[in-house]
Amino acid sequence: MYDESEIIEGIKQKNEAIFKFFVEKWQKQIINLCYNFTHNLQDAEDLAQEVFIEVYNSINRFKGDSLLSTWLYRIAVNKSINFINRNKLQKILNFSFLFKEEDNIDDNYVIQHYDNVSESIEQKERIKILNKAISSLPSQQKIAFTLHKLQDISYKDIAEIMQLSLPAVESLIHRAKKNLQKKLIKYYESKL
Amino acid sequence: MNCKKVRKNLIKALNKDLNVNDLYEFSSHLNNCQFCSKLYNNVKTTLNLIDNYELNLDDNPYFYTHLVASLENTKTNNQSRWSLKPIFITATFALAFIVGLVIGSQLINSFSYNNSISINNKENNYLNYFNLDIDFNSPETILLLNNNY
Repeated sequence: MYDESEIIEGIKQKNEAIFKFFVEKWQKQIINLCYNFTHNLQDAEDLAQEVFIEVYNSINRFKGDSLLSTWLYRIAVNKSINFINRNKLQKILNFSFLFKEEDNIDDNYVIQHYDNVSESIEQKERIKILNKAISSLPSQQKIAFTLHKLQDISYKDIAEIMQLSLPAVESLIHRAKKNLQKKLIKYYESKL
Repeated sequence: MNCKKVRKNLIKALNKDLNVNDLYEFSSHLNNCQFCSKLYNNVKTTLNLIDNYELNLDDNPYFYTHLVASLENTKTNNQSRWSLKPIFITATFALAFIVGLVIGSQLINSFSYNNSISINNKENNYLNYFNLDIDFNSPETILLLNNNY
């Protein structure tokens, strides 16, 4: 076990054992976070790799103003958002918005407590709708909402990760919740 | 409460912001209207998924091994990039020098050409000015003309 300062110093000195310890400690949370933005396991793992590579290469730029985990989450959020934007741009460049494509969303990893097959299928469909609604939120609201509701990160930590004030984060999450409700009402109204 | 009012109050109902009277009217409408009831239940059930959301991603046992391999790759790429850097810098400077020479010589040429043109133009202007008074007929023609031949 290493404490925070030992980990920072260890990564600075490119100590492999400490870096391995650090990666194994945070790998699951970072992959989960990236997955909540990308909804694809392979993309999430690739992004998580990029995140740890960036930490390894740029640890000297870490000033220690915040916790190492906050910095790690910040890098992961930035990488995920860049990935989403890159994908959007790619879709525009490929004119794929002209064709109705199946979404590359794989939601098989969300735990479902349903034994009945038809209920499980219905839940999968609901998760897809929910993910689509969350994805269509404005960027800042999406980040704050995902970090709080899906990653269970406190408002205070989100404020540090997003480099915003606490009231700004509260407002973002409140607006995200309202927007999400509106989007779902609109969607289900259209299906009636 | 009619359907329109129920749908208007849907968000309030979801957030438990309805007062007792409105809540009673809302609930009694839902009991009698299958469309509003279906809509309310759908939205509520989907939103409830967020509270029970739990990810169960399979652990990738090779994650760290892949990470180390990627790190090695980036190191090698960086090294090869750094090893090519002096060549790249020299080539850039050489190219910039040649481009500079070409542009410089072009500028000098065009400057001297412009100067010669402007001098010629000036000379022509003077000539034109003086030519106004110069008779171009040869002296022989003038003599002949004067003698009325």
